[in-house]
Amino acid sequence: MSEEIAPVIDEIKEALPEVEEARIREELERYMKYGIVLREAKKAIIKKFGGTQQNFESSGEKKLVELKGNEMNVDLTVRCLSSTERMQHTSNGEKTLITGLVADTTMIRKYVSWEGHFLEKGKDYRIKGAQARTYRGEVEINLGAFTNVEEAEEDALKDLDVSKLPRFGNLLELTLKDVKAGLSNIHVRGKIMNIEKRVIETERGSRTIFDGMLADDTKRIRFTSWGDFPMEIGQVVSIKGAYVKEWRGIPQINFDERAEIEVLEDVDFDIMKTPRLLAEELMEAGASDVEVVGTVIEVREGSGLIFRCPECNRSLINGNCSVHGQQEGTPDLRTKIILDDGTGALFAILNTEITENILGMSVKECESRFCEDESRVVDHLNQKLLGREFEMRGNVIRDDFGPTVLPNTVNPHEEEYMEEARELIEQLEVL
Amino acid sequence: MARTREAARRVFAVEYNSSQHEDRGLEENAPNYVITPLGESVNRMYLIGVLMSKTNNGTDDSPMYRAEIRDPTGTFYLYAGQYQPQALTALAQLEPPALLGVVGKIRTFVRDDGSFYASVKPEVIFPVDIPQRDRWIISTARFTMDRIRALKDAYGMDDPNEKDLVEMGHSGRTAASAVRSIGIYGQVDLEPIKKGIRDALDLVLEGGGESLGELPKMESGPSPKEAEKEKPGAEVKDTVFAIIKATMGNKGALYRDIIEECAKKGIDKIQLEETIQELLDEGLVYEPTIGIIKPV
Repeated sequence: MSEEIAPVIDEIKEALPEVEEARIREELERYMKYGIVLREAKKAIIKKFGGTQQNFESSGEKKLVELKGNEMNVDLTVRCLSSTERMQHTSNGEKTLITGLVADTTMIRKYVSWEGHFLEKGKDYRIKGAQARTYRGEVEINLGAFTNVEEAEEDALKDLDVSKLPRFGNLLELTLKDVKAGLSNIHVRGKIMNIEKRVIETERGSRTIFDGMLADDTKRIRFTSWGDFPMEIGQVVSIKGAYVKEWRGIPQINFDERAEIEVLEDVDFDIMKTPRLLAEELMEAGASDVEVVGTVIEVREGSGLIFRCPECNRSLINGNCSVHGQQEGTPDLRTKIILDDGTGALFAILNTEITENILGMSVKECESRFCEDESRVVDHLNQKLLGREFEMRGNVIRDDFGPTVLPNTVNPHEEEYMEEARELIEQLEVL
Repeated sequence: MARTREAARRVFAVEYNSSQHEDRGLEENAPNYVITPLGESVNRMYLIGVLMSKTNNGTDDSPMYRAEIRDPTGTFYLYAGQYQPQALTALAQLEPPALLGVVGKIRTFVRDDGSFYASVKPEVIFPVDIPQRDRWIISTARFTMDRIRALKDAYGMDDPNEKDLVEMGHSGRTAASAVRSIGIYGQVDLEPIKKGIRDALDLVLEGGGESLGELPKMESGPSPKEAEKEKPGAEVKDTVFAIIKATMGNKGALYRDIIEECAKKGIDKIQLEETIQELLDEGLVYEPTIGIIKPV
């Protein structure tokens, strides 16, 4: 047994450096006596002593460009481009702050250490257990007390040519489709589709900000302006120096007084229709108001006639709400599907109205016809959906499990295809 | 972060069946991919074809179906066992010939002489109509031709690489498949695949989009959850629930006590853990603190 628990004790020690090993072992053995599996016991102990679970959930080895700014424990291989050291006044007195730039083959990022990790310019390092965080919309690397920094072997970064990387701090020019959370200092152009003034309360009093929607011919994206720029609906603007945040996995452009805004008189975008995206384009960032086309390849459990808790609207499982216990339940219809276009798989949740349309039946009719056998509703959904192509339009949110489409409209994709077949044959002949 | 669901790739049988390579992930639970001659990496696929034959190589109690599904370019071989309950139920009900849509995972077999066979482990099987087949043919033809185009451009380069291919107008995905193909297969004979695409598109034109009329009806079998309920589990669950109620104090029942009581009734620890998890999932009990179970 002790062999099995030794590595777990090490992991807990890492998250709880102030707790003695003997104490951890004692706790762990107590949990195990209760038949709690190691993994669960580990979580519980860390929680009990006030540590956070994330401390040791490693994100593994990443490239700088892959960092999202929320990694608690990530491994990197980088070359140091510059380092400076200075004394900083903090609430705990004077502390040494080291900052600098590091690069790998993908990009340059800033690093920060309060724990004395001074990287030497020109040297390559293997960094284990670093933290990536977002400061003013910019992802930076924090080398903390649990970070292990070692010089890398000679050819660890043999393909790195710093002169070929975009310079740090340079404006990154992007179409809206390529705007991803964590990017900063970006340059985008788009048409203001709507804009709304809002007054919010901050620590330093009330502040006027502007919310709106920006669109180009690739995508629409919400923006927030923290500065008072004269912008109007219908204008095409160039925004330099914005940064990107996300909400439910949907990127949002933010900018403040430091940004440069310019109204472009002779530029316009073809944004008549909702942009259509491939599933693979939604894997890294969600989107608001887009269209996706794909085949329904699975109708998932939890679809069809369901009953909701009258108090909290959660769906009941065997007549039970996870919060309010046994309930009568209000009937509802919904459909959970996988929409796949060959480039990626999208999870989609179809609401009551759309599910009613697909079934050609209201919730009420459905309930009276199928209350004896709810699984028949799923059979009907399978028949109407499986293997069929649909156009879905709406928002695509994103979480750890990938993108989820929440469509406002769902239409069968039934364009005439004979002409398309003929065209493909022509193309094939010269291929 | 959880791994996102793998896309269902569209590949004709002629391309899939001539695959000779599998990429196995190094990490635990990493997905495996069949690499086709055109470089597509397939973990899951969506195909449409005619069910030509099915045989049950297992027993009535634990069936193992082998089925042949023909698309216009070749035959997909399907193997469905107990871990593919939906596909098993469907295959048991459907009689050849039937036009079917199949969502499946890759399955590979290497013979002693080193020859490599790629087949399909179906997850979901359902009847489809001619227009659905035609749309599948068209989108599969499109994907396949994109791969061929990227590959032909790559053949013309001194140092085939994704970056230059993307600059030439190929998508990141097809650029990657072209580079992958060259790395594994060197130069590939494209003619059989092109002939396959041609045959498939001709079929679309010949058929004229005509419908098959009534499709075979399929009853859904027991869903995996319902199937579980049929196990002796239901009785065990009642017993465990009763034990929790009997042993609990004000704050709930100690896990340790539940184990002890259950042991007396002949319920072992693994069975108990599963049952408690089910009770938790169903919201009948909860865990106010670790090691204590309390009925809701």
